[in-house]
Amino acid sequence: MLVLAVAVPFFGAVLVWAWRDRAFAHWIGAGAAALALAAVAVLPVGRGGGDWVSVGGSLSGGWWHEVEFAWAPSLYLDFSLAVDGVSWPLALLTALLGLLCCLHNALGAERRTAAALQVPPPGAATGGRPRRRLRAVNVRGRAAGDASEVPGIPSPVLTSLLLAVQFASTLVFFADDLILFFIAFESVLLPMWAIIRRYGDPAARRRAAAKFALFTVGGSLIMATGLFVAVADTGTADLGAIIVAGGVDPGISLLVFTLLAIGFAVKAPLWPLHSWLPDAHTAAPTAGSVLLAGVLLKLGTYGLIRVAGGIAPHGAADAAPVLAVLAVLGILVAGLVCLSLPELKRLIAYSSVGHMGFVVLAFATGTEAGIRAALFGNLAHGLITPLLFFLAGALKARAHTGLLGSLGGLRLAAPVFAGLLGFAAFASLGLPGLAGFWGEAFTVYAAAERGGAWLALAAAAAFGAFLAAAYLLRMLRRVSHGPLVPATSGIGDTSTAELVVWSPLVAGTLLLGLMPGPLLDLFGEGLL
Amino acid sequence: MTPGLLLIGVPAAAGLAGLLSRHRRPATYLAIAAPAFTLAMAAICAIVNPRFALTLADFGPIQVDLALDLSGTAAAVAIATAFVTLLVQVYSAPYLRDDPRYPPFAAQVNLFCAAMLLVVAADDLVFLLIGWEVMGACSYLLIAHYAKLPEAPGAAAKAFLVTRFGDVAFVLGVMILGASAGSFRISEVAHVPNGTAAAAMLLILFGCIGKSAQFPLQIWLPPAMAGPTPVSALIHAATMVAAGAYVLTRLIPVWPAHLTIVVALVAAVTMVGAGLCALAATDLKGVLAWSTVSQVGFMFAAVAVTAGDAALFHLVSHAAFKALLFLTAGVVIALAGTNGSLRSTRLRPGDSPLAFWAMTIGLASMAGLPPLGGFFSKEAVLGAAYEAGTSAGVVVFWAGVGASILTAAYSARLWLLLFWRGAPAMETVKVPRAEAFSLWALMFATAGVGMVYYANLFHVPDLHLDLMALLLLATLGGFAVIADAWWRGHRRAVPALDDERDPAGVLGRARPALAAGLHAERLADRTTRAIARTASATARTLDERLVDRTAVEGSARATLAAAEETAAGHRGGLVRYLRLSAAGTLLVAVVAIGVSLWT
Amino acid sequence: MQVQLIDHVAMLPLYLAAGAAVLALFAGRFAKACMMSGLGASAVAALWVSGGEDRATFAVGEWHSYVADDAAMGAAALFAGLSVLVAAVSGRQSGEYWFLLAVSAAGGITLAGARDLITLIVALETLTVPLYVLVTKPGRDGAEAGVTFLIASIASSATALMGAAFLYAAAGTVHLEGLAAGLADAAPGFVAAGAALLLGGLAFKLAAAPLHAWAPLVLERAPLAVATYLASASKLGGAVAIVWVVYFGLATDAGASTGIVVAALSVASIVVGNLGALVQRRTVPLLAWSGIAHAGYTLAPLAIVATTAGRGDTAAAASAALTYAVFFVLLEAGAFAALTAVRESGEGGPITELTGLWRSAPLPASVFLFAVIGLAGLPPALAGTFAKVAVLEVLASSAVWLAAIVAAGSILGLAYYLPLARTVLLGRGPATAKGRSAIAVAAIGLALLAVTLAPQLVLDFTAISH
Repeated sequence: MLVLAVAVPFFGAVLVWAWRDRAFAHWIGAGAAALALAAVAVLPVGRGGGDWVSVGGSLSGGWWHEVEFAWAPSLYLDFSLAVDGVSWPLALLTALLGLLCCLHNALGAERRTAAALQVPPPGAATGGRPRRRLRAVNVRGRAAGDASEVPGIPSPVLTSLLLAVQFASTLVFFADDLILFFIAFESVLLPMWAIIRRYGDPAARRRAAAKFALFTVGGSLIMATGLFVAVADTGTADLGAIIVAGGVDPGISLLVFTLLAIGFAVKAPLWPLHSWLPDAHTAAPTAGSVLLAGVLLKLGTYGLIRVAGGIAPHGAADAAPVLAVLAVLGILVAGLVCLSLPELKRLIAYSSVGHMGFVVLAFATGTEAGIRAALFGNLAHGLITPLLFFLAGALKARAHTGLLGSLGGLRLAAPVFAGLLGFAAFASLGLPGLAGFWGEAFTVYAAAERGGAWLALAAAAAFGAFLAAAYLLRMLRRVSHGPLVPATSGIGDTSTAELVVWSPLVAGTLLLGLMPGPLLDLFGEGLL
Repeated sequence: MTPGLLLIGVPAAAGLAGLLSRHRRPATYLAIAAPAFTLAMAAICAIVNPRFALTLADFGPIQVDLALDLSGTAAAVAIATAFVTLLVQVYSAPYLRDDPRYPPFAAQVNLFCAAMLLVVAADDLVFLLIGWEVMGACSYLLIAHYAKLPEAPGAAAKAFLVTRFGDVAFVLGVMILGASAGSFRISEVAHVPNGTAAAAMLLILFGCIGKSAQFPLQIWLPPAMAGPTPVSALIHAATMVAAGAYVLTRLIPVWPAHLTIVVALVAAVTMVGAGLCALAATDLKGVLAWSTVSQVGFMFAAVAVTAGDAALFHLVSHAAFKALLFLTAGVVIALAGTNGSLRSTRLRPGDSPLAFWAMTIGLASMAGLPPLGGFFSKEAVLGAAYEAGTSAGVVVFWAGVGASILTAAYSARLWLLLFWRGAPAMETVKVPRAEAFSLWALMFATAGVGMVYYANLFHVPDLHLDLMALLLLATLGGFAVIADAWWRGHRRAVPALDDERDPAGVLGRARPALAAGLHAERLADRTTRAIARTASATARTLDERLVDRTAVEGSARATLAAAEETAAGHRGGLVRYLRLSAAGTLLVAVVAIGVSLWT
Repeated sequence: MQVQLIDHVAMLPLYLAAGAAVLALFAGRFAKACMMSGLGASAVAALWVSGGEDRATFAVGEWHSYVADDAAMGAAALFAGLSVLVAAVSGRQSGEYWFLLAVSAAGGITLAGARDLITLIVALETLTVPLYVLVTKPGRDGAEAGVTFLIASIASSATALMGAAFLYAAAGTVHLEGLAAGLADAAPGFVAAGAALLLGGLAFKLAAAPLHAWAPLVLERAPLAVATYLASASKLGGAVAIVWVVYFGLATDAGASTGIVVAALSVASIVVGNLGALVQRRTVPLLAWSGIAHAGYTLAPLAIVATTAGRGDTAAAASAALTYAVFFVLLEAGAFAALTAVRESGEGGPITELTGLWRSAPLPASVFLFAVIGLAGLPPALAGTFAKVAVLEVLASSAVWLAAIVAAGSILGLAYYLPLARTVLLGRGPATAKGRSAIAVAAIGLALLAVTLAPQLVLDFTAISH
């Protein structure tokens, strides 16, 4: 099942690529994503097949399943996969978001609504042919130096790239071998780069894609250096074994942790290494933003918590104050910047910096509650922010603008849409009872638990949550409330297709918010 | 399934389900059935007093429990909440009969009710926090209900943000308390060391101040009147505003004794200040809003003298009369056909005897006339302060007496202005039957809530005859001042419609300032805006200019420039190539030799 | 004096290559076929020899001048294979072309087995000298390229010989193993000068700084097929020479100064190569400049011999350097071969002319893309990733600072590789290029795919030991 969960999106991507000219390619992609989701979903069945760690005579947690094939032993590279309570929820999230993005793409949700407004709905809009022609038109338009393609035209190639990202991310979460981890980590880059570069906002995509690629590869190479130092020190690349053995030698622990943390901090992103994020998120197409926020950022935090924290625990403890201060700075700066940002997607993107700041702060506290809060907040962000991005993307497709100044009255024009936006905003600002709360509140708890100067950090983080409320309400006030403006008048409410894509995220947000217990218990038995 | 869970779960589920409903009729049924059921559950809870706990979230060293504790007093508050919600729902159906957004409104009211009940019933501080903040979110949604009202979204956002600002402290306090006690259970946090408890409780107090609109975070409440009147009734009477005081009463055991003076000062300033503002207010709902602030100040006062039950008693009686007053105000404004401004809103008692009597009973109860509920509860608070024998007790006692005078004064002023200035003839609009039902029910409740005193549900001090006399005297004194001002205007034959006639004239020059809430709102508004703008600009400068443009893109530019230099340095054919090679090789050789000799 | 037995089995690949050269000279129309089959046989022979036990011949005492161990034979096979590839993409050429190519390949095979400085330098010259002719295209530009290459090569040979002379003076022997034993008592400054000059001279072949500047110019102006050879086999020669010299000869007793020299060469190459590549607008110079950076990455692991701790890991460092070189020349060969296949005019041209290549010539375009992405070190072209992993793994244990420089260089690399990839993949131009030499391109593509999926194939050969 482990191998299947990784392989299905890979072969799905290849198949979709191969049949990219056929109409049914979308549905192959969606099918592959669904299969992958199913494969990940059944992983908890029969868990305990892998190495379990026993503490004080009782099994306390560990790998649920493990598989291992030798690949390049000279490089310490094994194709070894493992799953436990920490990685499984993230893999599930990845599979879910992958499926949703593929569906979003397949249903062409944005395009259909946009088309419905301008021209009579094309009869065979789902067929391959009209779309191809449309693309050809755009091609010519761009060759003439004209505006580039209309965003949101679903293309099987995009589905293929999405599946590739899903494949690589799943591999990151499941990798039990550090070298494999690094390779998987790097694999995410190219498809994501292509998504931004090829399907992004024509005005900004070039710079955004380049920045994203350079930052990410820089981070991952620094991280790789850290990984190799650890491998050289311990003589093995088996992540689980290193963690169980208590990590690398305390003498080089700080070095290893610093290298790893810098690498993951780029991805997470931690202030001040975040500046690729707003550009990339803003320029990316909706599905790309969703995967960026929901999956790619998780790679950073997962790596930080599991890999960096696991193989260099002493270094993590030493570096915690620096990490925590940067995290809090990130929370505050992101909150303040969001207060005056004029653009919807950029605002949501920046808010991610703040949310990830919470995750990093919680991790930095190093307490058990903190780590669980970090993992929980991580996952919650992966549900909420993608929802926001879906909504923002749909809104931009309808209103043809994302500027807060030229939006308004959404509540009158599209009540269901506005309701969902409100829901997502409340979830994002950490309203208790929704998923965002537990992670952020217990970040504050974990910092308060440390006492002393950490109290100030706790207070700053709590204040950051207040700032989140301030900027999200500002956003709601500009977008949902007020009188109708030209951009929003006459836009359609949510379509069934959109509701289908979004409802799992809404449900997940509610479920995690009301019943955080089971997930936290999973984290509790994870290998950290 | 315990009744405790049903108590919260049913209105919550009804609220969530209602949000999905698009049609008015099922929404109405759901809106009324849920609180009715909840009321029944609350009554059952009052009898069986369920306690209940299971782990909601396990964070390793600390757990959040889904813990309910509906002891006698909590059940009483729950009954009051459910009762008021039910009547508000009954009242709203006809009140919002022309509003297409009624279904979400009704659903949000139910959610609001569920959140408040959660706060009332919760025995775990973090669990409580869920209700606490969902209430804030619901208040935001409800205040912003009127899509056409330009100030509504701003007022809603302000309400949410100010309370959330308080929550920053609240959450921090809860977390410190939890970290120190190793548990969030209210029953288990009482044993934390004094220093920690002091810090935590001051923080929690700040949160409660925000929720309860006490000084200095009272600024959100007056603009919140932009919401529909039933919402005001809900927020003021039984839910959000009262929640702060309620939570403080639950946490009384944690308070270090010497710090109650802080609560006392907050309460004293709020009681008197809000009373003065109420006296000066120029708007019917404004008077009521300020009076709420002042009355909740009484509850804080009771907390300051560690008389939790007295506070709750006042909470319950306040719930009855304030709900009555707000709902009646809605009727009055509808009858008078105005926007609620006191300058234009006026009726004759005969226009609608129901509104007249409802308003009269409500105001009398608020002013503390026996035998209405307000009299007993206020007496209980003052009695507790009187018996406390602490400096906090002294402060709140005298502030309470002063506030009682003010209460009587603004109640009387409102009564006079509303009903005794005559009114232009107009066609009488009939009060819808459902609205009338709510008013009747609340009138009975207001009148009858005093009997709770004799039911010994709350452990409040016995009635002191001397205090009763003092309170009556204070009330009458308040009446006297207003009556004097009114009659003096009458004697000068100023027409009743004139502003001169307003008894608020006794405040003299301070009146406009007080009417505007001492400009605190505007001041806070401007300061926060200015600070937010500056801070945001600074952050963006730091982030976009320094980090992004200078550090990130600057390094990219520098690299590109270096690259140009490098490429340019290599142009020039063979000769330059040989020079470069020779120089490079020699340099490497020299360095190598130097290093090897040196080591 | 004892008469040596010459191990002809060890020499077999060399015999075959030399035979192919001679045959090509006389075979007229069949020169190409003769040369290709001869070198193919040579490659197979090298692999066969490596399959057996390690062989060595031309001994002076314990020291051998020619060794046929796994690494040497693997490199030899690669030399032969790359020459075949170059021949395959060369199209129609006159007879001496094949001869010169085969001679150069024979030089490479000799170099792989060489274990003393004289053999090594002679082999290197054999590898290089035929190229003087090959790089020269008719016309002024061609002549300039030829002259530049000639003079640069001579200068570097002189430098290397001077270095070799110093070392001979210091140690009294030219055998690499003799150097390892004999340098301990020599004057350190003298040894350092020798090491610096020798390595600097050898670095010419690898196009590492400071003897790098010929590469962009010559590669740009040479025929593309010859550029393919220069960028792959010729660079492999430089890498092999340096790895042999450092690992077998200098690391033990002249480690400190050698390490410093290598580090300096490496850092300079990484910096200059990447910066130079960043502003190139033409395909071949871009690849040439980036090749300079890759030379730097290849040398980087050897730099760890500068420290005592690092000298314990010399074998790993040398293996890593060789591994990187092998992956790198394979990728370069893929890129250049694909480019050769699609450029009718025989020159690289500006990058923009590759626009839309993906549509018009899918096979060469995908090989080119794969190679470029591999050079950038990114999955899915794992060949490049493995190369980088190999280097970084060594550096991480002994010289983290150098690892950081390598990492920084790779980031810069992405800045020019990605646009190149984008142009080929996403651009939609009126490209009409048709792929030629499909079999050769497919073969190198398959080779890249093979080392991507099974890197252990390469790693087994590049694991060096005494």
